[in-house]
Amino acid sequence: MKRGFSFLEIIFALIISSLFVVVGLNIMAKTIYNYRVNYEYRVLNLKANVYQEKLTNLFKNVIPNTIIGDKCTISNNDCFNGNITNFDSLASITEKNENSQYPVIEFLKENNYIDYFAWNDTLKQNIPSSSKFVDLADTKIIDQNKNEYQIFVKYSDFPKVFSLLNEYFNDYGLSFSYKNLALLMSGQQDNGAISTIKNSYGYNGTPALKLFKILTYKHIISSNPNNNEDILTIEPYNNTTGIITQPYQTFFIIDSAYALVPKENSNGLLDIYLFHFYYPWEKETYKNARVKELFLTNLSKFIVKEIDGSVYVDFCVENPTLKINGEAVQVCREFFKY
Amino acid sequence: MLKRGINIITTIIILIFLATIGVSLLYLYQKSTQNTNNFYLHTYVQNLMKSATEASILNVLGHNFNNGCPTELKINDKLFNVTCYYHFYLTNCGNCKNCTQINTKDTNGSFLITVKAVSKIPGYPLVESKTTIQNP
Repeated sequence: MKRGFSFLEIIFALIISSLFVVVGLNIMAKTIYNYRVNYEYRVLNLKANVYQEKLTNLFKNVIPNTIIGDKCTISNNDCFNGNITNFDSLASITEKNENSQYPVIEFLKENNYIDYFAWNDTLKQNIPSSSKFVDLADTKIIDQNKNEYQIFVKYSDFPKVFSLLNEYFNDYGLSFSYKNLALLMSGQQDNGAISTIKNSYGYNGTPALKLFKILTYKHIISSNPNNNEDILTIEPYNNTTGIITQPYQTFFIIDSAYALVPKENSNGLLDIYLFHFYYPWEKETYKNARVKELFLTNLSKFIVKEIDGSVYVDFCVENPTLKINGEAVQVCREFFKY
Repeated sequence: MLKRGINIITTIIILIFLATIGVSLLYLYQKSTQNTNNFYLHTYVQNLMKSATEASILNVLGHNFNNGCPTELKINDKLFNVTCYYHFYLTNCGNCKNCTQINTKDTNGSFLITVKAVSKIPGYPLVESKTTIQNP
């Protein structure tokens, strides 16, 4: 007669199978956990890549040595509300009192779209919107006391510049006026002067001695497009007796200042807002910005430095809901934008 | 009644679940790879454009201006087609066609270099351009 299993055999089989189940479940749980951690790291990695691209694009055409750090407190929203206590050139902010004390970054940049070159089939060459090349010998002094000048920009098409900027402003639902533009007279390789940051660009109510406003412009069209030129009448936004602000060979066209403003979110991490479309040269601060948009989210670290005219960024993006052995899950990036 | 094992519906559900996980993993992996490629190409093209600017300056220095001005310099890179366009500022343009006549003697011989790089890689329609003024 065929027997069943003995009690001992069943117990033995149960112990072995329970061992298998325990080990199996453990492996399964670990696999699921590892999968989730892996997944989160991949998502964070992707997010960090996108943030890096956004920052790289933002810092494209930034004007060296116009970058400043604003001193304020993040925790009580002072930074976000524009209540700053001091500011300084970012290049001169040392390691000891770096971004933790100067969390808001402001800078001037040329619009990415104005360096527009269109192919001219007659000339068989690219025609720029503006070469930004001043024929200095032709420069006329209109009013010596006001530092008012007439300059001749050769091989240039300012109406094209204004039309490009107009389209850009319209995309944000804003109206454009060339009267709000600022020209920074300088060579393209010129790094400017850090020591004069508090009286050059108009940041936080300081004088904008280095920036010119366009009073009038006239576009001259020639039969040969090589000889197209713009005649601009310009004068500095602020004048100080004894300080002469004069035109140079080239200049930057600045349509807005930009500010990266941190704000603490409900997870205790930083959200970085981009404030733009404001004009420090017209006594505006970043709290007057016409566009305030959420730029980066859930950062545990965000440091921007200016080193020898290049922008250095160090940031970490964190997952606020996941911890591994009590440690935050984060991905960091460091990069230079030359 | 004989108890059945896992039925076909359950199997399909499990398969769909596993496939979803697999596809999302592959998608993330592909995005991550694509981003790494983008970074590489952006850095590559920036460096390439700097080199092209230097090369085009050397080209101007070695050019015999009695035969007119150089108009462009083509550089055939393995990943990008690079073209450097010139525009000169001279006090006397002579037979130089891509030139604007100026009156400032100090800046006579300045020129604009517009470097344009167009990707040759299928699936990466990357175009970058950069203009600089070079002083004599």
